[in-house]
Amino acid sequence: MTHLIYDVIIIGSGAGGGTVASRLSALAAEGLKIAVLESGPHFPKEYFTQREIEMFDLFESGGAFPSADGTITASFGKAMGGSTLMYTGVTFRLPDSVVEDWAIDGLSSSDLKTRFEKLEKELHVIEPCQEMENDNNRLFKKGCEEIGISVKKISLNLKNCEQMGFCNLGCANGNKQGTLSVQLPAASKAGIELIPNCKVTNISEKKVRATIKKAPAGSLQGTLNEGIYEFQAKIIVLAGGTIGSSALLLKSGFKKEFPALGAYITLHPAMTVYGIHPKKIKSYKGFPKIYYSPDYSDSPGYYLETAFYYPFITSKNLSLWGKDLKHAMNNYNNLMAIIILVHDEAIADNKIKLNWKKEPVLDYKLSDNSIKAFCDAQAKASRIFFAAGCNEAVMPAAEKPLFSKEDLKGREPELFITPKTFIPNKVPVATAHLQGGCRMGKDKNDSVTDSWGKVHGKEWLYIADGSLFPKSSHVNPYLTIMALADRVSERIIATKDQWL
Amino acid sequence: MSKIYHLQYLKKNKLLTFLSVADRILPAEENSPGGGSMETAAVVDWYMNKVPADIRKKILLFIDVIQFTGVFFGGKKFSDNSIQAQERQLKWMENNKVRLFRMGFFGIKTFVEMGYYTREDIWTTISYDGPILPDRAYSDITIRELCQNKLEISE
Repeated sequence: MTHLIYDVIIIGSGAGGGTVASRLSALAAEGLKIAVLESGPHFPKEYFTQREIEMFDLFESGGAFPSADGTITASFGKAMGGSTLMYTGVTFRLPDSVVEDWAIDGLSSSDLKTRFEKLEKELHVIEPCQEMENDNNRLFKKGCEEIGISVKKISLNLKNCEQMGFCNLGCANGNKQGTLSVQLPAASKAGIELIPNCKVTNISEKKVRATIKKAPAGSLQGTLNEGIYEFQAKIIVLAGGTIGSSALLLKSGFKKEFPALGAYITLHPAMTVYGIHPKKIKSYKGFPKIYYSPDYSDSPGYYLETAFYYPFITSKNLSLWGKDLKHAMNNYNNLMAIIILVHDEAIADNKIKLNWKKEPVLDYKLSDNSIKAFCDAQAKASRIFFAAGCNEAVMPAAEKPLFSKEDLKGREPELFITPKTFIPNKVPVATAHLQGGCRMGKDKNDSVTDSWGKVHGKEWLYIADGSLFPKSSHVNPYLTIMALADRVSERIIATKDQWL
Repeated sequence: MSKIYHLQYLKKNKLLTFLSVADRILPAEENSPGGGSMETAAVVDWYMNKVPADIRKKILLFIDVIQFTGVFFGGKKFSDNSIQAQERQLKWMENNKVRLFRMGFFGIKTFVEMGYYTREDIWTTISYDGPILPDRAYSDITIRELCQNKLEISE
């Protein structure tokens, strides 16, 4: 085992870890030794081939990490840049109502607002112009307006976007402003080491044990060779995400001290649904996400956003087989798509735990409320599709998943898509917005960190990722994660004299 | 085609079953081949090498379950049953009260879809243009060549 001494070790390089690294660049410039440990490889932009099966490499478990009961698959990054590598750049500020509902002492809307503004500037957040709208987005807007659903523009963090449309397979020209393009290069320039293929196996007071593996072909070699390492550091920042951070703390024996560790996770469960339009749409061209509707956010609790995916994932989302699947896929260039994102409740029984091999298990059950919200959202989405001119809709939870207006026989879609026809493990539900597990709070009996991400009673240990969320963010979470990571960094810098 | 891809996991009975299931999930149509081809099987077989061994074992076991429970739906093994009996069986699994059947069906169906819709010859049947940067190299040439139908496939 090789022993190395650092001042700060950051575990994870996504929205949280990348942001902490960039903020601590000032300390690196002063001569402090800082490293980012990333369990996945460091892929250069030339690696992104825009082919689905080849880009499974960017994700943990090929993008389909299953929940224990198989009802949901989770998609998150396992590479330098974390999930910002394959997100779409959808930028939402945490709504004030959610900040209020979180009720974390010391975390206010005004504090977050300042950070959001700063981050949006750094990340080149823009409001998409009309030229960026593809047909799917135009038709979504039209359909919503026809039936009185309000539509808003989604802000995006892009710079010189060429609108190739393959955001979810990694940006081939590096113009998506994720941490791999913005924060990590800045941190590296300031002298912070980026160490890929480094799987952390245990943490204890000011110590991190890890195994570094060989860089896979096509990826960049880090500064350290293969082997087993022990890093000693004055400050350790965990930013491995809901599953990564929770599982590492569980493995390292922190559960006894923090009973809420791993618990209260939310997933922002998602389904992508489709309409078949008589005209060509080619939704995979241009920018996939421009509009959303928050109309049903308060009740029953979901957002509708535009989206689009490549052939394999589309076929999976359709949840059809036989002639129906062929029919829908033969109309691939005529498909309209909407992604439904449900605001799920944070309950103790939904948790990250470990199996007998000490591997993380996503123990999560879709609640009755989430199923009701999914059904209502599918009914609304089918209304939008038909209002936009689609002849047929594909709703996995419907009595008949592929249906035309005529098939409704005069019934409201809400009566055609009900919890009775929602069959778990048949209906494809996914998540890319895992949250909670190391939630912030006052008390170590029902939370893991304080409002600044410092683990209760551990001056050397911070958390800076989506696992801090005490409840669902309701919105795509990356900007909130970065804002919380910004707070963590601020606290680390402010207390430097105490820990250095 | 001079280079050969040797299937590692989908062999003999498992291959037969997989091909029959794939033909039911994605039946052949005019101008669009069925899912049950060696090309689809080879892509799936390649990917199986990447999934954790315990998941791979479960998928392969479920393929056997499909094959041998075929007797309850058409009197024979799944691959020997009529198309109608095969469809009846898959529908039964898809909507089964027992979660494991639903999970198994969803898993196999997903693998079939992956093996089929990542093939470039299939992209043309759905008029998918494919990558804007088609010539970017990938570190594993085998999967690129399988998707481009450049390899001979053998058990």
